[in-house]
Amino acid sequence: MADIRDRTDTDLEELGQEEARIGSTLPPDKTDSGRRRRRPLFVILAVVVGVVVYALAFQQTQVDLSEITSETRQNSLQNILRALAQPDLITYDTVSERTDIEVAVPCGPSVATSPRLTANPSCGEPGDRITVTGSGYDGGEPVELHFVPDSDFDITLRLATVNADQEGRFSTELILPDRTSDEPQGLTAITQEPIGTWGNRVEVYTDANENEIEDNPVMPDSGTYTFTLAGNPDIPAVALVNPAGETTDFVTTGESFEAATGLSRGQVAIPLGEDESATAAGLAIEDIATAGGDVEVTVEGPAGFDMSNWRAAVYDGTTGEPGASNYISDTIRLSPRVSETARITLDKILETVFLALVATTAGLLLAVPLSFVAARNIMRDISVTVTNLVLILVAIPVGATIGVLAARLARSMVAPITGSGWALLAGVAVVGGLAWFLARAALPTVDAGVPARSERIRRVSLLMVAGAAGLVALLLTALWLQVIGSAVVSALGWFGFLGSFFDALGEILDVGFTVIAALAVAAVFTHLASKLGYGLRKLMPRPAERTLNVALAAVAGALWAVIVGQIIDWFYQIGNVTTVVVIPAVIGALLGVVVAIRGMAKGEVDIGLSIYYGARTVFNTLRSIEPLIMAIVFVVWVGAGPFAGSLALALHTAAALAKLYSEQVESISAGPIEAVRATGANRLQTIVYAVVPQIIPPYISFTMYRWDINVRMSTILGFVGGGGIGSILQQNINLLQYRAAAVQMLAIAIVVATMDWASSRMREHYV
Amino acid sequence: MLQVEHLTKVYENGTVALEDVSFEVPDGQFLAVIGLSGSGKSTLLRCINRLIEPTDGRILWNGEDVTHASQEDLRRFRRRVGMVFQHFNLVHRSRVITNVLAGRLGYTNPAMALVNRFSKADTTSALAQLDRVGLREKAHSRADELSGGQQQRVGIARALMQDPEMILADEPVASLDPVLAHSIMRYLELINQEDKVTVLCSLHFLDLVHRYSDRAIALNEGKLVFDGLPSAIDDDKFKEIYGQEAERVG
Repeated sequence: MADIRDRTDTDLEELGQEEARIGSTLPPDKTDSGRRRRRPLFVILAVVVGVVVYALAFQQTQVDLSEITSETRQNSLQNILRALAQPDLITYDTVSERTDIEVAVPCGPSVATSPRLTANPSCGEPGDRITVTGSGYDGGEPVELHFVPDSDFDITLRLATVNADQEGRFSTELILPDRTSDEPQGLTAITQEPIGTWGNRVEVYTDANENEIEDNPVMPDSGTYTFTLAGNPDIPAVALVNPAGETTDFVTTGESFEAATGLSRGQVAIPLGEDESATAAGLAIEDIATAGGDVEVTVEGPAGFDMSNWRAAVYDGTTGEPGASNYISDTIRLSPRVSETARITLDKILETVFLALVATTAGLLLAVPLSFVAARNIMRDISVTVTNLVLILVAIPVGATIGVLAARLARSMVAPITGSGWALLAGVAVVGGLAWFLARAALPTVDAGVPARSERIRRVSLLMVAGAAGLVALLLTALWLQVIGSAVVSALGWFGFLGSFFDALGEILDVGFTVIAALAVAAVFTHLASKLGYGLRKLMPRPAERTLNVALAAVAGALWAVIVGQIIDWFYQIGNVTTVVVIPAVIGALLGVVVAIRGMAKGEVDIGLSIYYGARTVFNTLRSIEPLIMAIVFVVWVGAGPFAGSLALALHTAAALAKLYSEQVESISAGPIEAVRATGANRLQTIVYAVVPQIIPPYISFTMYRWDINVRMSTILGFVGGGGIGSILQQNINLLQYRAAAVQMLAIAIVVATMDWASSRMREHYV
Repeated sequence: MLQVEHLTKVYENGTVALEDVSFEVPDGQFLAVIGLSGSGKSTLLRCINRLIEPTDGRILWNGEDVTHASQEDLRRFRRRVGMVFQHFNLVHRSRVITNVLAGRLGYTNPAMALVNRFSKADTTSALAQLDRVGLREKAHSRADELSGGQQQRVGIARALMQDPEMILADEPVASLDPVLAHSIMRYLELINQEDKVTVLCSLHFLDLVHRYSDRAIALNEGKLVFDGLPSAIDDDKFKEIYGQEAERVG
C-alpha cells in the first residue's frame, strides 16, 4: 500500500538534491531575464481576457443599474422588503369599521372626532372622477375605499386603498364604476383594527356553522351536545371529522357501508350501537334522529371539551351519497394568536430538517463502504491473475442469480408463518441463534497453524450454513418488524409513528433482502473462484492454464456482454434475440479473449485500479447532477412529497460523501498501515486497525457539514415537489403573499443558522 | 536462517533501489545495515517481509521461499517477523494497548476485526509486554500523547507481541536523541540476547553499529559493498561505503 511513500524520507531528499543540481546547470541569467521581459505582456493579456470575460458575463446576466434606480422598481422593492420585515407570525382578528358619508353643515373643514368622508362632487356619470376626502383616521392607517352598489346582495366594489397622512387625513380621486341605479348608491371606507394585545387577549366569536345562533363550542357538564344538519335521508348516516380533517367516528342508522366521496371518503360507516370507538379521540356520536327536514345529531365527550372546528357530514345510508356538512358549533378564538402560517411553517420546517436527516443518514450508510473502493491507496495494489479474474467474472453473475433464487426459496419457505408475529419472533430467535452458534464454531478466535484440508472444508461448510441461516433470520426479522409495526400503530396512539417506523424498516429490509442475498452469494462465489483459480495455477502446466484462461475469458466476456445487451434491450425494447443476445455474446467473447491474452502478457491485472476509476466516474457523474434535478425524477417515480426529496438528496449525498471520504482515506498517513500489514494483518484487519482510527474525525466532520448542506438543500427541494418547506414558500411568493413568505424565510434562516452553529460545535468537539 | 539471494528491486519510475544483493543471516545474529540515505536500506528491509514486492531474486526463511508465498503463507511468515520503524508508525488516535495488540493481528481470525475483539490471553500478554518496556501505566493513553522515545518503546512492544523470530528495525533511533537512542538499542539488544531473536537493524551512527551489532552489511546505491565485522570498517572501507567526501563523526 505504501511502497512509494515509504521511500519518501530517503528518496525525496535525493530527488531534491538532483533537482537542485539540474537547476544549477541551467544558465540562470537568460531564462530569468526572458521571464522578466515577458511578465508585463502576460499581465496585459490577463487583464484584457479578464475584461472580455466580465463584459460577456455582464451581458449574459443582464446587469442593468437603471432598473435598480427606477422609481417603480424601487417602490416594488420597498413593498417587498416591508412585507418581508413583517412576517405573518401572529394573527390579529380585526373589526371592520365602516364610515358612511356625512354631509357637513355648514361647509368647511371641521375637526372630526370620528372618521368622516366627504365626496366632491357627490354625483356623476360612470367614469367620472370624484374627489373623496377623509379625516379623523389614525396616522398612516391604510383605508380601503369601496363602492356600495344598489344590489340585493351584500357586495362592494373595492376602488382604492390609500394611506392616511400623519394627521389622519387623506384625499384621493376615484373613478365612478359603471353601475347606474335609480336609488342613491354608497361609498364606504373600511379600516382594519387589530383586536386585543398579547397582554390582554380577546375572545373572538365566529358563527362557524352559520345558523345565526350563538352555539357554545365547549362541551357542557352533561357530556352530551346536540346539533342539527340540513338533510332528510331515509336512513341518515353521520361522519364526525376532527379539526385535522380525520374522520373519528362514522355511524349509520342502517347497514354498514363505505363512503365513496365526500368529507369521509374511504371510511366505513358502522351501524349505530355497534360502534365502540372514538371516545379516546374526543367526541363520539351517540344518537342520530331526523326531525323536520333536519338531521339531529347528539355527540358525547368529556365536559369542557373544545368542539371548535369539528365538522360533521350527513350521508345517505341507502345510497352512500354525501349530503350537507357543517361545523358542529361556533368557534371562539383568541386574538392575537399564533397565525396559521406560523403553524404550517413549523410543521414544514420540521419536515425539512427530518428530510435532511434521513437523506444524510442513508447517504452516509452508502458512502462509508464505497469510500474505500474509491480510495487510490487502498485499491492500488489489488491485482489478480488472469485466471482468477475470469473465474471471478463468471462467478459474480452466477452467484448473484443463485442468490436471487435462494432468496425466493427462503421467502416461500417462511411464507406459512408470515402472518403470525409470535411464530416469526420464535423463528428469528431460533434461526438467528443457529447462525450465531455455527459462525462461532466455524471461526476460531486464534488462527494457529495451517489447518488440514478436512478442517478447512468443515469450516467453510459451517460458515456457509451459518450465512444461509443468517440470511433467513434477516428475512424473518424484516417480516416480524412489519407485522409488529403495523399491529401497534393504533395501539400506540400518539406514538403510532414508532410502529410505522418499524414497519418501514421491515419493509426496507424486506426489499433489500433479495439484494443482500444476491450480493452475499456472489461474494461467496467470488471467494471460492479465487481459491479455485489459485489451485488451478498450482496444479496445471502453463500451456493448459493459458488455454483455460482464454476459454474462460470468452465465457466471462460473453456473459457480461449479454447482461449489457439485456440492459440495452430494457431501455430500447429491441426484443430481437440476435441483436440483444447473439451479437453481444460473440463480441464479448472476442473482447474477453483479447483482454485475457494481453493480461497474460502482463502477468497480473490491476483490477483494483479499474474498480477505483469506475467508482470515481460514477460518483462524479452522480455528484454533477443537482439534487433538484434528481428530485424531479424521483417525484415522477414515488410521487410528490418529502420521500421523493429524501431519495434524491440521499443519492446525491452518497456520491458527494463517498468522494469526500475517499479523499480523506487517500490522505491518511501510510506509516501505521504498513506497520499493521507487517504484523501479518490481512486487508480487512488493516482497514479496521490502521485506516478507520485515522479517518473517524474527518468522517464525522464531513457528515456534519453534509447535513448542514442538506438542510439548506431541502429547503428548496419543495420547488419541484420534493417536500419540505420549499413548496409553501414558492406558493406564497407566487401568490405575492410576502408576509407569509417572510415567515418561511425566517424559519429557514433560524434552522440553517442553528445547524451551522451546532455542526461547528460538534466538529470542534470530535476533531 | 534468513537467506537473501540476488535481490533486485526496480521501482516503477525506473529507480534501481537494490541490485543483486545476496547475504545470509544465521539465527540469533544482530546484523547492522548501514549506508547513506537512499542507498536502499529501507527497501531491503521491506523486501524481506514483502511490504515491497522484490523485482527479482529470492528470499528464503528457514529454507522456504518467501518471495513466492501465497497470501496465507505470507501472513504466517509476517506474523513471526516483527518490524520497528523510524517514525514509530503508531496509530495516533488509538490507545497504546490497541497499538500493542495490533501485533497479534496475524494470529487473530480476521472476522474478529469486525467486532474489534482480542482474546483475554492477548490482552494480558499485551500488558506484560508494555510492562517490559516500562509503559504499563500508559496502556490506556492515546498513542499521540506519548513522547518519541515512549512511542518507539510501544513500537517495540507491538513487535514483541508477534512472538517474533526476527525483528526488522528500520532506523529505529534516527528520530531520537542520543540518550534515548541508546535506551531503545538496549531493548533491541535485550530481545536479541534473551529471546534469541534475529535482529536486522539499519543504523546511521557507526558507534551504535560497533556497540550493538555482531556483524554489519553496507549498501551503496543498491549494491552490497561491505559484509563483515563492524570492527573491520576502517577508513578505506568507510570511504567506499559513504563516498570520498565523507568524514567520520562517530
